Amino acid sequence: MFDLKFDYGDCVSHSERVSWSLDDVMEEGQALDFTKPFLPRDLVRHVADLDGLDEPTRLRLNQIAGNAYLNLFQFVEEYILATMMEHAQAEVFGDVDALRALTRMVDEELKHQQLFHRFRRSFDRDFGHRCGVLESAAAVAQVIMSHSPLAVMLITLHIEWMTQQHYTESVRKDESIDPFFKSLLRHHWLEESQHARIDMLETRKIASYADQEARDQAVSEYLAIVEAFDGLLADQVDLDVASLDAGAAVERSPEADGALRTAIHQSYRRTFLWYGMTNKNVVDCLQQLSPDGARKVADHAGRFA
Amino acid sequence: MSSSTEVKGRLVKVFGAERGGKVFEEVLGKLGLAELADPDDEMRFADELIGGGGLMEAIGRSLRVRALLRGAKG
Repeated sequence: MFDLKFDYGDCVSHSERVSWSLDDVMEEGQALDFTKPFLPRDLVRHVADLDGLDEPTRLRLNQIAGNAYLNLFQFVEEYILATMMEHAQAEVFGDVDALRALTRMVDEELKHQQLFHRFRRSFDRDFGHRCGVLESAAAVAQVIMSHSPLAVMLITLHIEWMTQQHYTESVRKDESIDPFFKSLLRHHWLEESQHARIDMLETRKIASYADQEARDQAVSEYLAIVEAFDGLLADQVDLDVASLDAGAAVERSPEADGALRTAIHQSYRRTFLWYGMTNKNVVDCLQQLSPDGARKVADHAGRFA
Repeated sequence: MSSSTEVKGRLVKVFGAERGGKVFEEVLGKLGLAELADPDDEMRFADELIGGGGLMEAIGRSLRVRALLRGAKG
């Protein structure tokens, strides 16, 4: 299963080459520039296509979504961190390369969380008012980690490969977005590219012990986690609209309000769900584990496009 | 690589070939097993090591997590 062209040692070597420190990317208290969008058009596609928004509103909404985007990563990295600590613990006195790769991954995920915290403190200070973001990371980690280890690895693969795709297909080539935000995403991507590979190695390890029933069950659990994630995204939509309207006398018809919320939700769904569910590496992995399950995932993905 | 080979390898790495091999055989004997056939066997083996305390306990705790990740029922 999984004919991979890399091993744990390769992941460690690459991680050492691209490693960066927190202050290299963002100093504590650094001021943010709000003259440009933070996210590329494709990651806010449905909002970008929505009629009836003036440009200042569209820009503010993009920046609110950018702040929420980083928070959502910080959010999911909470459980990835705990999961990878377990995987590292399983390699103590075992495979040294695997242990080094996993402990580096844990350290890097913690660093990413600190970076995103740092960004969000500056954002809250400079945007003009505090913008609401999801705050129950530990509860979500509890829900995800209550699933089987293979299901947890599948949602982790989804997130890590989705991150790669966001950067390589949308962020990297976009010259219109804020250069600092782009640099921040680039540094995140540099290290996450190794995390996606480590996830593949760990998934292969766990899957080798799972029979077909356990593999089918893991894909069903993965879909259940995706659905739960969609519920969180809907919660973030409400917070985004409240942030957009804060401090302003906003008059919006019920139809326009509904269209706005739908556009934000569908943008998040595309960015966080569809991208991962249709990623080539994720699809290949699902097909090798459970062809029936892979078909179900493909069927579900369409409504998140 | 079989579970028995991997688990024995860890004990040998920590305690050396002679003592590591002896600990492995002793624990298998206590459990009435000829080999570690699946993650549930690994879990029982790990729990036995944990009861030994010290470094054996540390190895056992690692093997216990490994067994759980591989589908042991706990």
